[in-house]
Amino acid sequence: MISPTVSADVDGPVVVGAVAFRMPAAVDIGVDVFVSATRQAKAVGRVGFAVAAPLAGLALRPARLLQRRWSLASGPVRAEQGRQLRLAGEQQAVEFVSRWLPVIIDRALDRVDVTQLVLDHVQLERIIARLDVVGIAREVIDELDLPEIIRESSSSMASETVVGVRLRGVEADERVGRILDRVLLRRNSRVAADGVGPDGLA
Amino acid sequence: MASPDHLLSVPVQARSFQGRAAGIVTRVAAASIDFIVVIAILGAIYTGIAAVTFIVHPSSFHWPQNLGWSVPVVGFGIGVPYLALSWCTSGRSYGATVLGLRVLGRGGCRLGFGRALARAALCVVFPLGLFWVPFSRDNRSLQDLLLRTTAVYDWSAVRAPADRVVVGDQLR
Repeated sequence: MISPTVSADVDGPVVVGAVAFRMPAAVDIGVDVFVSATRQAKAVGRVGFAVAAPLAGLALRPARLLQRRWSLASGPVRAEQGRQLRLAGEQQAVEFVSRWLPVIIDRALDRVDVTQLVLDHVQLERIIARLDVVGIAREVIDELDLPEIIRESSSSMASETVVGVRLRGVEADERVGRILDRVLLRRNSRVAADGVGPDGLA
Repeated sequence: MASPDHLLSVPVQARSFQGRAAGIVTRVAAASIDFIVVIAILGAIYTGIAAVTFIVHPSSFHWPQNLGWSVPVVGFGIGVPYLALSWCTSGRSYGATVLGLRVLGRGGCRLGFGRALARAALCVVFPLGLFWVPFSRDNRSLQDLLLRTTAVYDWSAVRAPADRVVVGDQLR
């Protein structure tokens, strides 16, 4: 049996065993093209990776930062921050409305005859008919405490004199009654004017 | 505690004895004022008579003379209706108004005209009956005892409710 042996020169034919044959040129061209393309692709890949790696890192970093910061910031803190932002917004809105709304309304009312508008479009009789005028008047009178006002308004010097005379009279009644009760040796005194002291004051 | 409505016009220091039977001093003072009122009316009447007489006979002016019993009779005729009408309407004459008194019947009710007329007549005919007040436990005059009336302290503008009137030691 013939053992297969392979030998070849650099530019010579390939010898396989006892048979020698030449490689086609197209194969060599293909190999050369393949190897060259592989080397170029590798070089381009290196450059591309060098350029794309930082960009990819930047693209991925925000997500990582957000995730890291979200893990550090708790829910109540964020709620407080949101509440403060909301309150600040409301305050600004109120200040804006408070400042400009009266001006706007005033300018608008200057251009409108409100009285004539009401007279033309509002049926005052119907409104009055629906109101409980007597009840409102009664509530107003109750709140005013008219008896107290009348009493205070009539508390002139003359009425003070009358009050003084009356109190002295009551005091004298008590004294006379007590004296008579002692003279008559009464155990139970008569009906006393409670609360009246020596000066006629309670 | 809120005061009753009828005591709103009464000073605070006087509210405690409102409705109690009045004593002799206050009642005599009130009666004296009423007497002065009657005398004033009597004087006004005689002044009017003198004025009319002067208009009819302008030659001379003179006060009515030889009045005799006409003064007490006219005084009775003036005083009794004056007191009776005062007691049966508001319960107080002018003197009682000044001194803060009110005359009431049994149970603190207002006097009827008949009882007021009888009380007025008794008071005018026998005013000394008033001096029984200090001897009475209930501060009642003889007229009060006869007619079952009483005079109480009442400084309010409106009449006090009957259940606030005190006679004796009990609330009626």
